[in-house]
Amino acid sequence: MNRRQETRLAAWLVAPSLVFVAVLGAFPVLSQFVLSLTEFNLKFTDERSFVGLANFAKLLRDDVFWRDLGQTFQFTVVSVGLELLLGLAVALLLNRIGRGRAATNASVIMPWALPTVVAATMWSLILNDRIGLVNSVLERIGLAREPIVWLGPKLAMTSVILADVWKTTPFVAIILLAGLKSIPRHYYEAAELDGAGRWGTFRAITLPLLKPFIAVAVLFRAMDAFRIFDLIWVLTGGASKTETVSVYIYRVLFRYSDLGYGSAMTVALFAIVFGMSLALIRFMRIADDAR
Amino acid sequence: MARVRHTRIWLWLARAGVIVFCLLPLYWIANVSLSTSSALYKTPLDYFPRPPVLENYRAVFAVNQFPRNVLNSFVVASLTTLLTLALGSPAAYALSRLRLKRKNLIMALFLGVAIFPAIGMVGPLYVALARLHLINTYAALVLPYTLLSLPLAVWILTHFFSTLPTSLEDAALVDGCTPPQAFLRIILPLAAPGLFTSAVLIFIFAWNEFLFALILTSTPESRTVPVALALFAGLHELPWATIAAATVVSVVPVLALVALFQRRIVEGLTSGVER
Amino acid sequence: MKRGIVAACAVAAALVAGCTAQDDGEVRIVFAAGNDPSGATAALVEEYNASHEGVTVSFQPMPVNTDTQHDAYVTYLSARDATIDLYSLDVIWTAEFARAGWIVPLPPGFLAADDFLDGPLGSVTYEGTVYAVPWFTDAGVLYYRRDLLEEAGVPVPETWDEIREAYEKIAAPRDMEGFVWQGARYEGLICDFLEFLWGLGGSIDGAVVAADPALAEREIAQAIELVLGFFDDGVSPESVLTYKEEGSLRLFTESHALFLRNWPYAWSMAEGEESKVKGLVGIAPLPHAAGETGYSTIGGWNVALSSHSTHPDEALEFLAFITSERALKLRAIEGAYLPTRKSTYEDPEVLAANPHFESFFEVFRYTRNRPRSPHYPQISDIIQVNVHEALSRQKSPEEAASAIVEDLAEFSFE
Repeated sequence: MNRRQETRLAAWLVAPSLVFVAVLGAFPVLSQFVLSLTEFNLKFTDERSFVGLANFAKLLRDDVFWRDLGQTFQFTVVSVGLELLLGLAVALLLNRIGRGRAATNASVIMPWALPTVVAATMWSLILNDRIGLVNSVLERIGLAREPIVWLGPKLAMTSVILADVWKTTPFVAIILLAGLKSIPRHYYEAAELDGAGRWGTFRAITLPLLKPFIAVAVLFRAMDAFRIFDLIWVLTGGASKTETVSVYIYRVLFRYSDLGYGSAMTVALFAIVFGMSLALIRFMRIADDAR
Repeated sequence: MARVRHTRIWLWLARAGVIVFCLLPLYWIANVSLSTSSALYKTPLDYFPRPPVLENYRAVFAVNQFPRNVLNSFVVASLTTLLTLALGSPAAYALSRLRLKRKNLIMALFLGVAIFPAIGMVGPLYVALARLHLINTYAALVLPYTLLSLPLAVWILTHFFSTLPTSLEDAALVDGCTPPQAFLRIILPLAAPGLFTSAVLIFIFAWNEFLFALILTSTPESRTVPVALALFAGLHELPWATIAAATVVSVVPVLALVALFQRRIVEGLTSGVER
Repeated sequence: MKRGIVAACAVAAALVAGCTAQDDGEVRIVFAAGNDPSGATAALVEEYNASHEGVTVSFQPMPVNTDTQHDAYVTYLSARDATIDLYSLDVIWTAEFARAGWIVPLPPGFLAADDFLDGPLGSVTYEGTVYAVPWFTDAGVLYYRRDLLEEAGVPVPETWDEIREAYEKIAAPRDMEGFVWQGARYEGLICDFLEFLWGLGGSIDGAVVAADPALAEREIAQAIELVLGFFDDGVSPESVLTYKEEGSLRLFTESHALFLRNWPYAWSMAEGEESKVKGLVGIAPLPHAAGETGYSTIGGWNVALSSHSTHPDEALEFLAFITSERALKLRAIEGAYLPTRKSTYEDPEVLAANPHFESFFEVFRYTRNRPRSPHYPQISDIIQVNVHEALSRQKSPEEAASAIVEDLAEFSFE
């Protein structure tokens, strides 16, 4: 196969998904960009007008948006960090399991397979300070004397993060597990022959070869975490300093039907996350590894 | 010797810990689904349903379209998975192993779609799909879900394909395979763990998605499980035992499917070509 | 490659499955409303279809959650969707949907106003025009532990001071909570907070706020201080700021609280088989400050006609049926939905199925609606956010009150 043939084949293979994304994605995405330049509320269609960048100017002065952005950032960094550590541990463990692997893997996926709304509702009930499961167990084993108000002003963000870590660690674990499985066995055999210890093997072989998978897992988790909505909406409604940008966007777009300003926020969030992702990619240098 | 035994014990403990951590909620939901609805709050708590009751499951199946909703979810999630992998794996193959210009731009484009807040896309998508008379069909969900999950699939698979040694296709080509054949017969089977991982992630995403499902389907017959679950809640009351039973009914098939796939397909495929 | 093509064909075929159009001259009316697990609504629809040739009504059950329905309906209506003819709307949406032109005014005389309760009736108009018919109602009620009050010889409290005294005398020694209610940041907080405000003689209505902002500010701050006082004295636990209906109710049914503010639905839960307080519960109008009157926030749902309906006449006929005395009666008996027609509360069959309705009727004499405005969701959020921040001590009562009054000034009330 010569160069030109190869390039042509590659183009044909990529084309279907690009066309699909362009056809289906173009309208919803572009309409947001257009709407972000207008003043447009679904309820007051008679007052529609083009306002240029006014919505973005308003955004710059919107304290709520910036406060929520900070909180979103905090949520993302802590929860994705924890998920990566836990997910890596779980993946390493699962990789060493011989018998009963299928069942174990399926059970690890469990938290992620629960619908978010159900999981969130469940958490809100078992975190109830007076009658919830968590406090009742803690009190029974003597770890807590006073009921802990998990969703109250002090602990709300911690609880939300814990619920998210519980729910999405499996996502990280299963991607990393797939990565571990892609590492050829003879690398380890060679390392063993060289007398490398377990930690040495991990640092010299596992970690570098796993890096692209860590990068993908972190990238997609970070993007999702940055746009988190339903978990927070159910658990706190955004109270007690847990409101994220997506919760705010939901309020403006759906509750207020304010498409103009809501779209401007959507576009801004898009730009921020896109910038963050590119920085992350550069930082982890996965674009190079992908080649 | 002692050290090996020690490690083994630790491994078993860790494994047990992970399973407990992950399965506890399922156990708890199963427990509640077999108990009366106040089981969640009893003080002191009952750790077993006593006595176990089946009335919650009866209530779930009394809603006559619930099995239909489970079937819908199954069809939507399967089609989404198939379509995403059918579109995504050739693209990922080209991006990882073939000569192609502007690779990074294409990867970034996919990423851009994944990043765009889904909340903002529902409204315009509803307008577009309504104009095409696709509301309440499987397509109304499969198409958007594929759009949302394609980027993740492309990214995972690209990295997966790139871990395979390049000598593989060369050998296949020498043996007289055409490049598509080399892809289908050699690369895809080797990438089975990667395909499986993407498939599980996509399937579960499509199985659990709520907002699009709420807006883009509106008849009881066309709804999927998450919306059907939401129908069990009252205006203020939360019949938690019934919701738990419905959750068990909807989650167990997914887990069974994952376990089955893992055993039969992934291990079957990978064992053929041990590297 | 072949497998791929087969798969692609299968996918395409499956995707289009289910797009079948029907055209047989039958008029099809779709009625979207929150799901009714009792089956009464479905039965009524069936009954209606059996007796109306040429018209087929189908009931499209939606998740009952208010926000969820709002998301869906706004999307449909703003896209001029014509598939749904009749919508059941939360009482707080009338102004919003009417101003947007999504629902149409009802023909003059369609609504026989004299037959309905005043509270729900106050929620169906926008700028003097009637847009909907009240369907079922809801209002805040005080639940109390009859047994404990009787044992201690304490009368049923009418004022907040009496609530406080009962807490100190009965609940505190037993390590029970005194008064629990819904304080999480969501729509329920507005309902509960307005009841505190009204019980102090205050108000947050547009006209009042516009006429004397300083007074409105003082009243709001007072209401916040009242609640903070409850927290300080232990009458209400600060964890009510995380409770919605379910959490607060379960505290009460597990015998952890002496008083509960909740909606009428809580009665059948508190008196249900699994409740630890079965047979020990009483209901009363909400407490208030000495010398004032307690008001309950009106909840509930109305039915309105979509402006995109292609068969408005037939739809209106069904609207009349589903809000008729017969329909409200069946829904009250089967599903315990509180009727909006006065006469239903005297119906022996309804009272036989729901003996407690009689006492609710008493409570319903003092009810009020939340502010009516096309901007209601914003107004609600402004109050929710500021009140919740003040109650969780992130803001002083004065700061929160002035933020509320200042932000509300931007919006037009009816």
